[in-house]
Amino acid sequence: MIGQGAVAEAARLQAGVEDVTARPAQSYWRASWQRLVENRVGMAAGAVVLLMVVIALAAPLVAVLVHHQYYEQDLDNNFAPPFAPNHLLGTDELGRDTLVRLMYGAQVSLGVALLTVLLSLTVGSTVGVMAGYYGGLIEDLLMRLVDVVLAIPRIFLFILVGILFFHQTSLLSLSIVIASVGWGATARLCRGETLSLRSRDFMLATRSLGASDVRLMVRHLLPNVLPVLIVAASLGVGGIILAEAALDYLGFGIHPPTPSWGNMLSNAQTYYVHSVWLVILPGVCIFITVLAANVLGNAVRDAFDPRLR
Amino acid sequence: MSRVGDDLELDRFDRFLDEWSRRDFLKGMGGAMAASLFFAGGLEALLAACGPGNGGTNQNVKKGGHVTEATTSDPTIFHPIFISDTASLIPGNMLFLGLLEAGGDGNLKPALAKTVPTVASDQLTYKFDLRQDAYWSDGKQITSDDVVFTYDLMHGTKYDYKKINSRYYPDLEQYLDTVTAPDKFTVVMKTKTPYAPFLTGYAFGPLPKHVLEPVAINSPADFRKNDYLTAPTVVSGAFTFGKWDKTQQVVLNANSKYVRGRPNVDQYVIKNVGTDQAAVNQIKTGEVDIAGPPPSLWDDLATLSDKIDRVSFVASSYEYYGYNVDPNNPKRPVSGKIFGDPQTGKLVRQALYYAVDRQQLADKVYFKQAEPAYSVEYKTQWSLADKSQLPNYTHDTKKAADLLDQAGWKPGADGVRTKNGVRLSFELLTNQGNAARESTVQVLSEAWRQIGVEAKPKTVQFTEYVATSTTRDVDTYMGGIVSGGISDPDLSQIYHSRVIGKGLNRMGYSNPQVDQLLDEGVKVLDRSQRKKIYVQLQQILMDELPLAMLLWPKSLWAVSKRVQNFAVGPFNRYDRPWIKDVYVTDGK
Amino acid sequence: MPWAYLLRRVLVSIPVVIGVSAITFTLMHTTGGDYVPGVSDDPRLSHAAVEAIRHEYGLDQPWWVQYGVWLWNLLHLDFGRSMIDGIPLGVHIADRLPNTLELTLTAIVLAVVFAIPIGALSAIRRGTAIDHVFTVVSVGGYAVPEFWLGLLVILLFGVEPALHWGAPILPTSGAASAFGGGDVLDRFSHLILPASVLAFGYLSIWSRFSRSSMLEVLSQDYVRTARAKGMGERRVVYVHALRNAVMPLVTLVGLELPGLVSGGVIVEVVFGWPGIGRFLYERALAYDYTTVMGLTTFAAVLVVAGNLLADVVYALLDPRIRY
Repeated sequence: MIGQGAVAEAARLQAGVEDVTARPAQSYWRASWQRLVENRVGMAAGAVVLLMVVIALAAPLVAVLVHHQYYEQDLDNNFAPPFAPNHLLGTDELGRDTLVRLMYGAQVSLGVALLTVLLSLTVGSTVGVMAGYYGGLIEDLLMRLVDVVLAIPRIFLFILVGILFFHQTSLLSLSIVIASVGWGATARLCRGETLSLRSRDFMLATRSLGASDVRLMVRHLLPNVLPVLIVAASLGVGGIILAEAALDYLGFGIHPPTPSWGNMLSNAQTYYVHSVWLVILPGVCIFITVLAANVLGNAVRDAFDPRLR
Repeated sequence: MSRVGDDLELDRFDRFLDEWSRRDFLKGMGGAMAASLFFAGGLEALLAACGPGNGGTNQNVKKGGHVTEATTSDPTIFHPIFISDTASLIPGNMLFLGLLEAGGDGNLKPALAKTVPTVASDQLTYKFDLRQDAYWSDGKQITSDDVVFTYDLMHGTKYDYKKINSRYYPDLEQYLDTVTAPDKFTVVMKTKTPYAPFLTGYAFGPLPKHVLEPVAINSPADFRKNDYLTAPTVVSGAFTFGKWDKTQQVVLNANSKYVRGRPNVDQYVIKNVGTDQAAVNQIKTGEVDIAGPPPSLWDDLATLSDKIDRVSFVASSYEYYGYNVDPNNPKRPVSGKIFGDPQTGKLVRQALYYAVDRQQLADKVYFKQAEPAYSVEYKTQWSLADKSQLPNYTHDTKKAADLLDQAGWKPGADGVRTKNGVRLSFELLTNQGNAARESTVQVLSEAWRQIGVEAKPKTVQFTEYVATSTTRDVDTYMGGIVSGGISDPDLSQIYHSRVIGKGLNRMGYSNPQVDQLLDEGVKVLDRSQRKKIYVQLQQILMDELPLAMLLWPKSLWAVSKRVQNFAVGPFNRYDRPWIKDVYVTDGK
Repeated sequence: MPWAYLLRRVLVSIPVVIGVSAITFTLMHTTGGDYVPGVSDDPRLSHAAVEAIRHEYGLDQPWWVQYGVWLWNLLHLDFGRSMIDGIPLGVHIADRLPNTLELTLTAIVLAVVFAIPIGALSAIRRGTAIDHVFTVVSVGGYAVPEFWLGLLVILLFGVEPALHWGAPILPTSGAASAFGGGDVLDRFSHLILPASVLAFGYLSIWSRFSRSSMLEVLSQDYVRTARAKGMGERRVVYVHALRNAVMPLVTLVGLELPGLVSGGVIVEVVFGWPGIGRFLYERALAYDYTTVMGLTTFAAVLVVAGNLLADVVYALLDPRIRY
């Protein structure tokens, strides 16, 4: 995926530590899950991530409860500090409620993370599994395309795809921008896994029973590739949230008045002298979420990565 | 410099290049100000105190040392006849002497010309007497040949001027008849028709003929790419070219052959710091001496009054929003019919204008560094009408709602007004990278929501903003206009129907009476006669409101106390005749 | 190493570079179309004048001709001219690439130099306070937005000291002072802040990585054997274990080499560093698409060449790899 986690993954691959045997048995999932649950730090991080999801989902409810919408302004009451009357976390430069905006901001940050993971996994695994399965010309074409995408430096590609969506940014467009970088690594990962599986006995057996290509890929290859995908996905989430913030900083982010942690943070830089909490609050949200996502990602890797077994 | 006043087209260009290149795309950081370059102007009191004439009165003038000024984008090219961005104007004007230049009082002052010429009785001919003591930095004398050569580059039969492609040839084709040199120190220019903006907009300083003529003859198409224009070896201004470290700084050295005498400082550095926030940080750290802070940090700088002087003044610029008033605009027919309806369009435009609390906007979004605008002209413009002569739009939500009722827009089920099944809903476009504008569109949208109007703010990159609004693919749009120096009050590039879809008439505004007044305005050379025409225009335009004027922002400057005589003013932001008098107290 | 292998690798790289140029061309063409910055919207230029300029840039040609011409020039290592200032991209790149490399290389070296001892120390002192501190810092370090860290550093080392003591501890912008810019010391002082911020990101990961590979090595048989043979603990750790633990890190660092050109975009923007990344960013926003195409392709060529080089180096270093 995006983050440096992907780099570590790739390093591992490149270092030749590849050893997947047969299809994971049902017990693999149970055992992995067991390992994950027993990882207390990982579980705590998972709880934090879950909390952020709850916060994001609760945003509309809280907005109604505190009688402030994220776009509602009160110019005479701007830059109110935290614990001001009516505004628990204060207000921003237009007098909008910071608490409500942070909660809606969580929707953007987490929404983009989720969509990006889905997009790059879907595209990446499709391409990777197809390339690995069919081989030959299809593999060559697909993997050269991956080479091309991976040859463009990550942030250059952000910028190139970013300006394509100047006109109308949305959760989806941001996800496309970030996923445009992420799918390539996933595809390579999947292809590697598929290659090592293709010649296995169970594949040959299934094929000789007359299973169709699609069935083979979806029913037999994909489940085997899944652990690798899960690991890649969970390691990538933190990086995606940071990437979204970076896009905001560069001006490719979601348009106001819709808040995201990244644009709240970038916006507030000008006001740090007199309203430092406007910088601190979104910064802390990003920090905690990325931290929790990374710790959780590591725990997931420790639990699920077949190569670590 | 040659180019004293920036006509509107250039203003627009300034804005254009200025903004995209100011890499403050960090929304919060910079834009608000589009600052220094973006807010024109000069403080009259300050000018009186330390205008060029008074520079020498200070007994403690020190020689030597250097000054560093922060900008947020790189220059592109150095001679004024090619320059189209503000980042280039500052070094360009320091390197080249103009025929005329901007006085701090808003009047033209002689530079290479001995006096400001007055038009001959034929209303067409201008005669320039050149100084005989002016030399190029290589020691050759500056003569009328150089001036004529420079005009030949832009217009006429001598060179392939279209290939040379200066910024002004299309204008000169239209207005200029001939430029001749009867003797070594006299230049005579003749316009085709009486044209009032001529001296303000088209009196250019010379390029050295002895250096550049071979290029003009041999390879006109490569003229612009010629090294001279990015590293001019032979110049006429207060400074000579030192070096240009790309994306970092331009270093200029004092020119000992400058006609007014060598500048006090040895070097002048124009440092590209990237963002306005960085500029403010660096004036605090002392890494730069001069910077344009955003309004949001203006008060913060007050705490540094022992180190930094703050200079602010209302400048030649305004912020506005515009309506699509053309019911036949093929790209946006719905909003065209809302705002351009012959019966009710004007009521809607006025209603929205009444709903905006411009004083609050100035106080809160511009941190008190702006004034509500009451005219379509700059506040600094000599043709500005008196406030009492113009319609008065005090913030009045009730009146706004009444006007909408009157126009037939009735509150709908979802809170948005409707009329014949059409919702009163539209987009409000502005450019990114300017925090104040991004806030302003949100404030407008919120103010209009209160009266049952739905405006959806949309911010795009500046280049995109210009492209979209020029092709009139907009419902409403918010922007600004700025002039760098003295500008002519002519408004043709904004309101004339012939520039619909070409110039700044992005509204699709067409009013025969306005067209006629605009055409008349540029032909009358007498100022008091002209003013009557422009007052009438202001009255019509402020009533019709194709563009709704929001604010006259202030130009903000932070100048380190070690720098003295930096006499920046409303008309002297890029054109700085006083630059030679600037000195540094510590000699460093 | 057989030359045939090298040749094959080079040949395989060519379609990749062409592919990159095609993708970039398509993206920029979709975005900017035939828009010419500073010309298309100039109200003063007549239609004919605009057409003339478009002709000069070949924008009146069909897209495949434009692309073909561009590709043809590329084969001659001509990356084209900027649409905004008409300056050949080769010149723009030559002006800025050294600055960018100076920044990114320093950051990588800095990160490696700190990552190895930090990782090793954490591994040796596993479970102690020092290990925990390093863990928290490195895991936390990766969760901080780069631009935010940059701004913080500017405040802490530039603005605040200047306000209290009259001068910044370190310069906060640019690659050199206007005067004496060739001075090594001057350049170095400008380099410290941006390089540190950039290095911090790498450091967070690499120190974790070197910790875990050190742990792995320490539990290996030969380390235990060495200890059993009575070899001094220092010698065991520093000679045997550390050397073996560093090898995987080399691979990891090698993977970051493509980032040499682009890795510092945000840091370059925050610190006003006159590099390639910042230049591309500005020009992309201005739709200077000849510049964007040229720069992206140039970067891709470097990435491809870098990968090639890495493979060759591995092959030379590691006797187990045979082609």
